[in-house]
Amino acid sequence: MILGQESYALWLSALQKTSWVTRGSLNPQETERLGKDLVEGISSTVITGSLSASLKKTLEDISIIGVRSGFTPSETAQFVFSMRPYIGDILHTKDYTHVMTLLDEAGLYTFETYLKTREEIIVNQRQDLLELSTPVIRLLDGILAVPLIGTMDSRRTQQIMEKLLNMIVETGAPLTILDITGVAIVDTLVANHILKTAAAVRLLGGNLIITGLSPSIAQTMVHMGVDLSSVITRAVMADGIALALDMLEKEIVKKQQPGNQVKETK
Amino acid sequence: MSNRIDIRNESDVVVARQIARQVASQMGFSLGDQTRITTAVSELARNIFLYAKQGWIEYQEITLGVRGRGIEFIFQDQGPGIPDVELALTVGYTSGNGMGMGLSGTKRLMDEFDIKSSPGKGATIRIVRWLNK
Amino acid sequence: MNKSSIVKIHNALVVTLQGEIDDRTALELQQEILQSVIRYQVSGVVIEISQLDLVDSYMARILSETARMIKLMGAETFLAGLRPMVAVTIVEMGLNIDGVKTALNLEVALEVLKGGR
Repeated sequence: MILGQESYALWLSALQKTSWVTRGSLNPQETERLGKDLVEGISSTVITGSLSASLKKTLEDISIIGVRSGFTPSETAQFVFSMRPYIGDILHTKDYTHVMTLLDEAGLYTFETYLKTREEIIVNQRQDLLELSTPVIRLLDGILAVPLIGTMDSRRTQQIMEKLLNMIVETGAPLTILDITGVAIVDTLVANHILKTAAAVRLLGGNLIITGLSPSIAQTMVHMGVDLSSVITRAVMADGIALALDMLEKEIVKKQQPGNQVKETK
Repeated sequence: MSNRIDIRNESDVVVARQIARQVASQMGFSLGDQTRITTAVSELARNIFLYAKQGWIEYQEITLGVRGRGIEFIFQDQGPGIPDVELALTVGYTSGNGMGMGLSGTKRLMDEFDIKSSPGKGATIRIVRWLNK
Repeated sequence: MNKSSIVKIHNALVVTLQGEIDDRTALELQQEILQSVIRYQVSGVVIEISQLDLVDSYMARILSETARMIKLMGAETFLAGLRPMVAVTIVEMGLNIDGVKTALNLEVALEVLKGGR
């Protein structure tokens, strides 16, 4: 199948010196295997005139490795383009233009799959981050807590709202403490998101206590004319917890220890 | 290929809702999106019945490059039309029935929302929700 | 299609909304609820809607109006068991359900009406 053994060997050894191998993304054996698949793929493409399914598969593999190794799209495509000086001899072809066109096509295909792969990774990571950064915690019997951290956009608010509402129905918790201490910027948009969440919680029959309203946030809210009077707010989370317990007519008491001399007076 | 639902009486509004939920669920929309789509279809199907007495809905799955897959519903009638589209989309605007949140509320549930209407010539409303955002 | 029911439990009327409810049926139900408030002399009405998979602007208006009518007749209304995604849609649309108290579920609503809390 491979005719120009000598050129082929030359190309492979050139490939072994690229960042693909030197940076450890591929070991020499893997490089050889991919190289062989690539040459076979291109050679069958020369006959059919279009990229075969197996060649596409090889190119996709190259792209995925490129993305995972942190290569740029050009560095990734270089795996294919490095073949340029050798391919004519490797395939013993006279129709140089035709082969070059196909090689370009193959190189461009790695560009495409590179971008697609990276997009997929970004989408997954964003999803993971969203999930990670929005825990709904069962704080105490009947009380849920949501510590918000980072930025609050509509998408995240929506995600948090849905997760919280499901948890409320699942646990039957009448109270939720939403702590905004860790929210980077609290502006009118964020305030609106909070009001929306509070409205949805109320529709279910629950109640929301917002905590973490620092002096600066309180100032911003008033200056911007945001009306938060429809929700219960507190400066620190501890106060929110105390209030929640009070609303549920519960309290935390010191444990009675039988052997303890110190008696609780209450 | 688009499908069609005729709206001629009140129970057709219910039929439209059921179909919308079924199609949205089959396409893999989340429970939240299924509810949004079904609610939007309910609003707009009712509007056909209320204002034009009869009309129809065409719906189909659409794809648009990187946007991916989506669902499109087109509501058409030959009723009196909407004299002032801008006004009709104002929060709180009502021509009598409902809460005055029908059109503006529906718009907020969807990714795309267009109205074409001229007085006396009926109305065409197109809504789209994309599967991945 | 409409499988809703109205029953009296203690001093309350429990209305379970179920199945596909078209606009006319919603109005008929409103009428039936108001009549039942008089007939059974109840002090509260719980509308249980955990089986409803959507509340659009019309349904929201009917629920809100019904609650306000019941209030005029001297009784309280609770909306119980609203589904999370339905709540999200109501909020996103900007709908208001005025005059209604809400409860996580039927038990909680009945408890409150009984004067439990």
